[in-house]
Amino acid sequence: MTGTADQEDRVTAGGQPETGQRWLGRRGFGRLRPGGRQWGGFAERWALFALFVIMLIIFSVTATGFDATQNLQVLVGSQTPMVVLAIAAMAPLVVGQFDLSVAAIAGTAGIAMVSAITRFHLPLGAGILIALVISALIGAFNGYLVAYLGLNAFIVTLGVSTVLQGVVQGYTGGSVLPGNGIGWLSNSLSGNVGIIPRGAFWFVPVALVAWYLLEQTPFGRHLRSIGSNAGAAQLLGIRTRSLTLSTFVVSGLLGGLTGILITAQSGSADPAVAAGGDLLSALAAAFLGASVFLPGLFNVAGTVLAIFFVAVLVDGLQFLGAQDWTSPVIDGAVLIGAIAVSSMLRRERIRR
Amino acid sequence: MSAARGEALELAGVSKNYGPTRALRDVSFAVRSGRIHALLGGNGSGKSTLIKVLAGVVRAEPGGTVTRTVAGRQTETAIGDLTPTISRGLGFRFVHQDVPIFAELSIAENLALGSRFELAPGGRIRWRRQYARAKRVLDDFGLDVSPKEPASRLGPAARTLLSICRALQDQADPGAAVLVLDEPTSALPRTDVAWLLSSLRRLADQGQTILWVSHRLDEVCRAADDITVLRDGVHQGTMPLGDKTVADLAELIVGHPVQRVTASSARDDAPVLLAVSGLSAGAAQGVDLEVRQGEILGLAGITGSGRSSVLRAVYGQLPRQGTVIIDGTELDGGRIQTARAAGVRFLPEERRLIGFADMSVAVNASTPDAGRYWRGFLDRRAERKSGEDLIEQLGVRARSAEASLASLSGGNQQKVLIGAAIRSEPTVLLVDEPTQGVDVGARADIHGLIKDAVAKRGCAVVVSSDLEEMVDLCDRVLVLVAGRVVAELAGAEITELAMASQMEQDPAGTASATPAATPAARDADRKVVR
Repeated sequence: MTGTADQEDRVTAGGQPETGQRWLGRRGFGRLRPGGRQWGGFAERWALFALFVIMLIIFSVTATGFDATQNLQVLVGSQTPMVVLAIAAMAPLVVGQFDLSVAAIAGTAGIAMVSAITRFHLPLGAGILIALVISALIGAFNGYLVAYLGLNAFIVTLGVSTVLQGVVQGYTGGSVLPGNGIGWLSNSLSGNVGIIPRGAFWFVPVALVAWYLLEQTPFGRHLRSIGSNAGAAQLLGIRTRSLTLSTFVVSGLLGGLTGILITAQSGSADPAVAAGGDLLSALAAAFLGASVFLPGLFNVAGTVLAIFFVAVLVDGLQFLGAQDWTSPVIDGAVLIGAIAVSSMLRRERIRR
Repeated sequence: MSAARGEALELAGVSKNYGPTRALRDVSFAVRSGRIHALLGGNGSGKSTLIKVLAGVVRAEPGGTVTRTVAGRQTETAIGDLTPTISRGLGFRFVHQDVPIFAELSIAENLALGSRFELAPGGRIRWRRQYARAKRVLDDFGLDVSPKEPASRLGPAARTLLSICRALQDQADPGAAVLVLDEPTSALPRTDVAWLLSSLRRLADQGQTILWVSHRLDEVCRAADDITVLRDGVHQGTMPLGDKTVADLAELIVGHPVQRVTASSARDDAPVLLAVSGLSAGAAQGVDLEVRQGEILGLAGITGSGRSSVLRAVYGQLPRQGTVIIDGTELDGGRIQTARAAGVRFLPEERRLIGFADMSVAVNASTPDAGRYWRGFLDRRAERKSGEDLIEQLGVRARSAEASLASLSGGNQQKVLIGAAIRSEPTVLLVDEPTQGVDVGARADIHGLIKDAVAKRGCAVVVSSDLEEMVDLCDRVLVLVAGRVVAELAGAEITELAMASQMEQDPAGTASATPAATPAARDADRKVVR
């Protein structure tokens, strides 16, 4: 045992991390659990998942017409773009930065794709490619301003987001662009293969690649080290600036993919997507995800679970008679609750 | 010296448990009025806990008492009842290691933030009165600066004294408060320390009671009147310092005689692993040096002399002019990755830059070369194993390799990070302040680590403000003044006196011609410290 050394000097060196993960807060909430570390750690990891399962059971029993399997299939189908958007929002959070422009990028990408096909008569593949390239470039622009010019990510991405909304508004005149010629893309999102909804074939590979990069490669480890202490990472020769930029490129790309998926789902490109109504849900999921599986750290599996957790919660409550307005209330409450819980968990991580 | 004016503070039966851990066990001792009373102990001895108890930040177990005597009047308080407010009411004033000075604000504002602003009706600040009051406080404490200047003009020692002023400015008379200093000198260069210690002495002579926590035993020997030693939460004794030496104190703290690791001597015919010529970077102005296989070179000098700039420039953290040759190959400057690829490793002075507090020991040890554990996936088992090996080899006190770095004591954190750097078998190991804020036991361990590493392979360059450390560790020492090498000492020539007399040469002539050498810091030093 480290005994009193443990108690006394725990924040001497290294101290509280300087930059990264700062969105999870610095001040703690005191101790969560006085003892039982092993059990506590396990419970922490799985609490949200257990809650998710319990919720499914309760809604299945109480809400008439709420069939867990069928409902999950519909949910997975409808939530596919949100899962991708949440992973997009999570990428810069890992290195301690924020991207508020992901939803606007999604909206822009959708318009760009449809416009390429219908106005410029390009094939669907080219439309997708153009949408993704534009998204990645916007992400790279964000990343350059944040990582190389040292500008505040919050302000930069908020500004970019607003500019994109304006541009989309101007380009479309505010009207929905009908998505003629995106047929197979739309089909790839609807219905099931066996019992697996088709949407899963989109988000599962994205999530797997993101998980692999973050948890199983030196690249991911380097991102986490920047999130923990950017100064120390830089001194270890980790390319903090280009890696930070890369997270914005990833968030831009995945934001663009989200836009493509939303367009495919609805069959048309709606400029309202760029207004960023989905942004908060995506951020809420990233923060809520940081309270499960790897408590205190942003993680892909947690983020995916969080999207479905909130979706089932909203869906179940609406089955029980809740009104539409409950959805944003729940999203906002989840964001605040999630940030509170993950701050506590992060505090605990540091303690032990 | 201060006459025996009786006791200012008496503690009886102070205990504190953290769960099953007994941080303080029935500690009782008295502090005499108008004395500098050093509180000594290794990391984890209970010093910090005791101070937190006195500050009312940590609630002690019920049963003990704290008795304050001010002007013959005794106040006894149950120790378990202390809150920050009650502690302040009893006259305790605390100055911590990380001095909270607001550099952009004026000195007067910094003082006012510790007590109050002079307000006119309507809430306007009456600046003239504010400045006059600040001036009086500064004069009382012998700090000769204008209250209108921004605090950023002050050198590090003067900042510490400013925070002491701030803590004590509203006491009725010098005997009314007990000043508690938590490692005030650990971040200060040597010349500043002497100045700060003489300021403390002047305060004590005016009747100020000072409780002083320090790891720097040579300073304790120079400045303390009385000492109290804690070990594993148990009071080992309180006594006048008398003629005790650093070695005596170290023995009291550790509980057994401490082995000093003495310098090995590298062979003159060993290959040169690091050759630097005409190096100019930051405060360094044309530095030449060579380090041979198996050798530990020390760079001595005051803050701003360029000693740290040399390390940073070799590591590629600072842009530089001049050539750096590592093991026969010239190294391009300005990129940390290039230097690391050539086998250079660097441990900086800033504690906030030395690791990832919220990550595990194993991850901290592996992050510098995470690629080693990558086999298409990250081999966490191998990573954990190697973290465990590191803990075992270095004798790190950690619950496991999965424990977060922040849960370790400062000395153990330092061991992990030095161990991780050494494990990669660097050609050139650069260490800035290897044992700052580390207790005597861990200090000897860290010295041993560096020596063992160099004996096997590579060489090391060490910068330290602690001259005793330089004597213990280095085979050869270069003394830097104003960015230039002014003296070279080897073997038996390396003594604290020899280094101190060289590094405190008046750099005035060269300094005025070298604007690169942090003019603000030097300016402040000359103005305030000299």
